[in-house]
Amino acid sequence: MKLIFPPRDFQLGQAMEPPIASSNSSGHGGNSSSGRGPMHFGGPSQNPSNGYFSVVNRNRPTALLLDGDRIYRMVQKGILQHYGVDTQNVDNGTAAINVLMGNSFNLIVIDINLPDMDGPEITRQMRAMGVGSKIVGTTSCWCERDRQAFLNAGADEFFEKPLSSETLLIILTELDGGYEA
Amino acid sequence: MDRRHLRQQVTYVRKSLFDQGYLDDQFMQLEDLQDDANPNFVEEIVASFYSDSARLIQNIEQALVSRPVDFGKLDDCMHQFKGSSSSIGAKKVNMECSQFREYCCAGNIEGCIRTFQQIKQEHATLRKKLENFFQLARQAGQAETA
Repeated sequence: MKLIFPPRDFQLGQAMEPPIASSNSSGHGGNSSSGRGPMHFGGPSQNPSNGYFSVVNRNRPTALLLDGDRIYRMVQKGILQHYGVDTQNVDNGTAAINVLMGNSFNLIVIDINLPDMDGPEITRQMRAMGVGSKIVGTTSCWCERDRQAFLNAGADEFFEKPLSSETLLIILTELDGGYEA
Repeated sequence: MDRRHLRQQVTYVRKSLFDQGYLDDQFMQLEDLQDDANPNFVEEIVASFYSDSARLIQNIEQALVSRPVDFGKLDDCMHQFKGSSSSIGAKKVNMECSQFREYCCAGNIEGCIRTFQQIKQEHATLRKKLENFFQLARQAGQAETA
């Protein structure tokens, strides 16, 4: 489903027009869902006076970003924070597990290649720990085998880097709610 | 050069970087992050990229001359390099990186070596063009506040 997106300065909490659906079956850099389902705390609510849906962000969402590349971490963290997401960076899987011992995040973004283990492996470990966050796997070069590995390990989505603003908005809009296990 | 002319020059140079395929939309995402609190964000990120990528290039060069060739290591190095270059919107560099990874997956070392020369060339060309652009932008900024 392709959504028509608001302007680049859109902030979570502003009203947006209802999405206009069209088919999008592209796998290259596109949305690859495991079928875990969207997150729902209450979902979008419709303003009866103007017919617009509003995406209400009751709390500032949080994200954990795992990537071995410093530049990508700097850029992606900046972009996520620009969209109102409190973001923490780590550069390896072991550090991520340690962070998750005492913290929870709405969103975890994991690169396929980490210095100490691959993305699917860390995903598997997180799910085994009971981490219920939305997990998005990433790669710098799309590969169907990597996508399957991530989804089989328990990730919710898989995208090619960098995450476009349209892709981020989809991910963040789906965060506006609770995770249904 | 007067203020108006400088502004026009900056706009023209910026547009040409996109029109000629050196940069893609990701660069605009970086520009969106630049504000009064981070007035030099884009230039700083680009400088960090060129600083870090020197090490990545060296790693790839070493892997290319090692025998036997470790294509797994080459692929890992290029994965990181491509992730880094894509995050600043370096479109031509990115395209060459994709070509490199195809040769790498095919176990074609000559293709990898040839493509890597292209990558380094595009990497250096983009650096010069961005340095020129940032210098012009700084001059325009100074002219505005003068």
